Amino acid sequence: MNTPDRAAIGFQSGLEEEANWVNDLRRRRREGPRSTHNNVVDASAGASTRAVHSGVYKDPVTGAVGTPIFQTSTFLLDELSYAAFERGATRDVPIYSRYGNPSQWAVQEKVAALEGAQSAVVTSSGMSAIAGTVYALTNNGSHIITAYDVYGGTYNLMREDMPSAGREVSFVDATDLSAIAAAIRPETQLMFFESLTNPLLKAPPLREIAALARQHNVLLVVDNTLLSPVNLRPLDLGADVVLHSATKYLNGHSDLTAGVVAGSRKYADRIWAQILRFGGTLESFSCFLLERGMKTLVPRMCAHNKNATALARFLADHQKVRAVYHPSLADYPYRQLKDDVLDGYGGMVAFEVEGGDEDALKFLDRVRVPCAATSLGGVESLVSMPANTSHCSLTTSQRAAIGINGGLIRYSAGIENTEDLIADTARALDSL
Amino acid sequence: MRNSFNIASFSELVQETKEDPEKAQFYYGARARYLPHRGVRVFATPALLGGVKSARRFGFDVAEPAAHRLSDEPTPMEMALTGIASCSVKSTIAGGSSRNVNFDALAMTISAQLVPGGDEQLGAAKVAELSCELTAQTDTAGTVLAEIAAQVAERSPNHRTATDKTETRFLLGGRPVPLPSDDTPAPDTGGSRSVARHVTWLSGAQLESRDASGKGGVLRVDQPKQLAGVDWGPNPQEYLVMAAAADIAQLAGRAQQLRTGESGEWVVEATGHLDIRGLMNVDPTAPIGLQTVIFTLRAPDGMRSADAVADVCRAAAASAVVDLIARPHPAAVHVG
Repeated sequence: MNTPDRAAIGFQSGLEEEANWVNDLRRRRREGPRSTHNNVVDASAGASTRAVHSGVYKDPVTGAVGTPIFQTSTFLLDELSYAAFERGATRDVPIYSRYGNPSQWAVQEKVAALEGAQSAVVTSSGMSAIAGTVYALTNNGSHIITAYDVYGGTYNLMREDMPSAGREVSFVDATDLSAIAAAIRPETQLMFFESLTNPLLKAPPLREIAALARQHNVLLVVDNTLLSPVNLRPLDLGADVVLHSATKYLNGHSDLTAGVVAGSRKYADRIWAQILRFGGTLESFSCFLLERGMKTLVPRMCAHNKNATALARFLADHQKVRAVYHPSLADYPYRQLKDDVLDGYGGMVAFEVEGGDEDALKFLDRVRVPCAATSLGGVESLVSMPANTSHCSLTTSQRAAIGINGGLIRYSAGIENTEDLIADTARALDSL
Repeated sequence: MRNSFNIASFSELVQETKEDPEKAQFYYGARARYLPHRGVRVFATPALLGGVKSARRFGFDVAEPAAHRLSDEPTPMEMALTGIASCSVKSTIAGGSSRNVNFDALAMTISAQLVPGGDEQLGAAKVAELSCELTAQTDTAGTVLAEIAAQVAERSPNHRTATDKTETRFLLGGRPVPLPSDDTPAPDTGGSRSVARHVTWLSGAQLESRDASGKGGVLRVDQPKQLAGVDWGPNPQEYLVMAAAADIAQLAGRAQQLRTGESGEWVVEATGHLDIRGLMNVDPTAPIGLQTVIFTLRAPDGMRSADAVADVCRAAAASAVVDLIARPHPAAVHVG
């Protein structure tokens, strides 16, 4: 096979002819893996330009404008493959799709470009990305700090799997820097926080947390699902690793399940190795969908940002609404978020209706534009109640303790016309 | 993965330390606790590997010199020798793999000749002689293997810790404990005994250490997962600092016992700083062995400071492991 450029850039220059000792070894970490076919966009380009063009596989045979779907589980073996096996560098040469596939590389390059990362890993779900990251970056005997109101899937992983894996977890209020500092132990290796929590949209002080983590040689991992790299780039604030449920905004069309992790090549390679051992690879067709979805991330996020902000403003003035949770409102307590965000706050808005859970259920039944469904980040608006979905395992008092009060509705604003969403919401509220 | 050793990953570490020397600064630690009638238990504490923390969960009950010996209780000297030999074997794998050498088997037998030190009551000992014999099954020419063995003798950090003079510092209650420097060779006064370990390479970064007679328990050796290991056992530097912490904790407790008729809880933390650019030979000025081994001690509650200092001084002077670390012990790596 005469296709030497199918390997990652730098792979071949890292193969030394002779070495007398380890100092003669030449391989170094580089961006990627990225082949000569993956489009590279200058980091100074705008987010939308990067979203559209970064990572796209420029097929040298057909001249296809979009990335082809490399629907194959395995690749022909050649000298490059054997060299990769021999040296333990199998991430750099397409050998077998669980290890890597050009469809995955295209997605990864786009995510890395958007998050300002050296490397990224695409996975089969957001939880696959989270589990792979947490396992890869901690050892038996380590300690992890996370939020008590972290996403339910993450909470379950931390609470149900970490103890038996030899990791202890402390659950803290992520917005309380002193509580985080007090939880740090000599063996603390990882802090895991969300850039914006679900469903109450609390914003931890990421810059300060990153400084604290660095001071104690602790890695900071940030789940940036709710804001997306269009609105916030955690690596710029000092995080070591950023990850997403790509099922949500990154893909944006509610038609696949995927996750991504981005950071330095050093950490991404370790996470990649963990993901491949866990079997969390994303298959090629989903990679195609995800990469295509991300091309429109910026205009979609603009619409999500606008709709949620408009809905929050409308809800705040409605007499049948008891409370509204959205960063754009004047009484939003986590003021540092305004300084950190690039564009907006995403499409999520949470609010409590006066009539409690009974009226909340009626509201879900009476809105016509959104679908009553879990998940978020798709082009279509979705509504749900945390009390009977994500937080149903908690008692009423436990829910109240973390701010999930009766009548709470989670509204994931899609990209529909703003006036239609408001009119529909007004109609449903007025009918209560 | 030649020899199950990840050359790519090691190469990336080499390049990383060339670009940023801070990434080459590794810190290993151990914490030992002596309790009367219960002996010493020692743990590895979190390691810091170029700024990346690695939690460690490895602990040993350490054999008391006079007590009935259980097979899974190593002595401090056995742990120390395991640390030195395993570091040499790993250096052989790293160096050999980078030179395209394939090993079918690799092992080192390390032997220390111990002679009584001055403080017979405390069981003081010094290391009079150290020998290291490497055996390998490989189709590589003997001359290449001899070259690698010479490189290992020059570059293996723990080997150099034993063969070079290494600074040790003792802190008690936050204050330095003044100790006389003792560079004199161990006197050959008879009554010597030897401790020998056979360290066998299994795969990648995993090794096993046994008493050279084949009896007794097995000590597992590995690397942290951050350094291409699988957290199967402590790494060579951790064995060395665990041995040192355990020996000092045990001896300090016994010194107190001899002085007062009873002893209390002694806690000893030992840390070692390694600049791996020395092992890698990426900077000829970088030190190769552990640079300074620092012992931070906590004496039993209520103990007079002067008495605690006296017990620490006596323990430090009696410790064969401290002697092995602090005083130079010339030893080549012979290929058997």
